[in-house]
Amino acid sequence: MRLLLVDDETELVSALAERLRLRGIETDFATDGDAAADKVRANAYDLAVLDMKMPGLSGLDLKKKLQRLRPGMRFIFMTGHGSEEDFRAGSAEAAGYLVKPVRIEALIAAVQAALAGGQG
Amino acid sequence: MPANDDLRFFGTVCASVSHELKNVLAVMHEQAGLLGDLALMAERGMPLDPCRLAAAADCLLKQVRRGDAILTNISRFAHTTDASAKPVDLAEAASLAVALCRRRADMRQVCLAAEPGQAVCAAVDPFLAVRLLASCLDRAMDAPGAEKTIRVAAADSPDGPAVTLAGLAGDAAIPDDDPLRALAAGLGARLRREAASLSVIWPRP
Repeated sequence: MRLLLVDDETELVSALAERLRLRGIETDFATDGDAAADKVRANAYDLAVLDMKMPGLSGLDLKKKLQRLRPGMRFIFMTGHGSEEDFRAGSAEAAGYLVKPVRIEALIAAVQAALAGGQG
Repeated sequence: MPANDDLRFFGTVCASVSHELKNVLAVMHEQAGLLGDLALMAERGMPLDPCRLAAAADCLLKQVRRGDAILTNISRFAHTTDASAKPVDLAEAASLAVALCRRRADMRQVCLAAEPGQAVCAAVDPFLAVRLLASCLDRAMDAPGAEKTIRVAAADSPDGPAVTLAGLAGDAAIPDDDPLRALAAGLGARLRREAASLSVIWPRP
């Protein structure tokens, strides 16, 4: 399993990536859409965890871009809001939807569920 | 409906600030979680890297300072409703408007720079002054120049105390019926759009 985390909060995404790596999950991170696209071009990720609201490309737009680069890749959205609007968009467009701060156990469970065959 | 517009502005600022604070807490949550993970690994015999611990501690302190700055700004903003008219330092009001607009600027990938200057006072409603300046910043962020940096400075001009936003694209006029002009007029101010800049001027009586 290889994951890509994308969030513009560098110190959040780097710590989360390190925590996943300590649990044996190969994880990279990016802090903007362009860097994420570069990493997806270069690596065979199974799943990306995307922040819904980032400067430049939104999480939803970035998902579409990454999906074109690597069809079959799965997605989970993270959001700081937990608003009804985000929930609807996140649930419809991805295999999982998590509200920050994210419990690491909940993230791993969502990743496993997504890779086991969820949509998105 | 001016009352609703005021409330809408207050809501927009609160939503933006709450999002910023959520991010601060999320970073602290992950860094604290990482410290817990490292402690657990140490219990199991993995050597602890002191530099890694120091980096996590530094990050936590930085986030506490960031959260404190956000709360200080929202407190300053809340207190703008204490009085409906008083002498307002326009440089202070401009720096507060910049701070409150920072997240919206980040989302648009525009940089806001409040330039230091001397205190310039006008007798205005403090809340509406910040609302007007934030609305001008929003307008400027919609059309930034190539550098994508809006520089904000307060100064005493020959026409009266003024706040100038520089670094805009072109010099597109603001129509007479633009709500921004009405908002400025309600505060006794007028707008001046010139090449790459937008000024809010409080004419001397």
